[in-house]
Amino acid sequence: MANTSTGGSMLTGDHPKIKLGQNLILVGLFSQITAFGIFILVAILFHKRLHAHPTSTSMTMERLWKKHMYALYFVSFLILIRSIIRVVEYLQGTGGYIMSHEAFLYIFDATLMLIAVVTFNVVHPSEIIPGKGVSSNEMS
Amino acid sequence: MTETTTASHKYYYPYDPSKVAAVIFVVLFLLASLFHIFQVIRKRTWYFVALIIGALMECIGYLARFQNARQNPDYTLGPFIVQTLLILVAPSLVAATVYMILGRIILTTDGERYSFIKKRWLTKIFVVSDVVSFFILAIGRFDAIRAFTLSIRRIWLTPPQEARC
Repeated sequence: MANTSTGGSMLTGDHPKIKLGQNLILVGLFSQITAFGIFILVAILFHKRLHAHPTSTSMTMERLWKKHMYALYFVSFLILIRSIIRVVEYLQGTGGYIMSHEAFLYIFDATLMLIAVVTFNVVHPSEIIPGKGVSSNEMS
Repeated sequence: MTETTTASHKYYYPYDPSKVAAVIFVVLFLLASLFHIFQVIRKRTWYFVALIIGALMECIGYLARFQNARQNPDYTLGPFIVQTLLILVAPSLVAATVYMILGRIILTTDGERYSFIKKRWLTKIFVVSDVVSFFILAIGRFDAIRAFTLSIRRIWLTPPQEARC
């Protein structure tokens, strides 16, 4: 009987060592979300300013750079949602709803990340950023 | 003996991990990775390597998960570690790529003065913070896995008391 109770507490993650690991994960996830939040703000600010006061270069590629900014926002949004779900998952702990249901992993992590990766397949930054050895007049 | 097997089963996954779902994503991430590799070679955009690695990590992560799913209920630790670790940290690489791309867009449009953070700092700050959170996550995971392994070992080494009750 005593053994089952110890086993039970480990299942819920009350064991101090598991707690440390999970706390570190939370720190990592929170710092990722914060960095991303700041990043999105920087991106939006840049976008608004460049739109209001275009440079000569940006004028020649207006639709292009804007298209790529929107791709960035979209992917950032996906990563943000994924990170938030992860945070909630770890906050809920081992017995929590998210961790106990596999669907969350596949919908909010696998699918979102796949869409993010494929977005860059479709809107490939090489359109706006020349690769090494490609001269700028070869860009579309 | 069956008690210890069912007990360890509970600690790995609180459900029966789906083989089908795992395989689907192995294939999809593999295809996306291959397509990216093809594009990188064609356009020579070497800075995209991070994204490729991230996509491949997802692919391998789900492959390990598929392995575990096949082992149900006698899961082994190896694939479990691989899948938890890779699936958790792969998005950091995607995030790093996103930061990098913004930096390059700013450069290409000559819009440096509009960036709230100077371009030089932009990529560095974000990529560094991303790498840091990457390591924190990895360490956190290793630590949790180590503690998890210790608790599993304790259960396996403890003779089942249930029979006596």
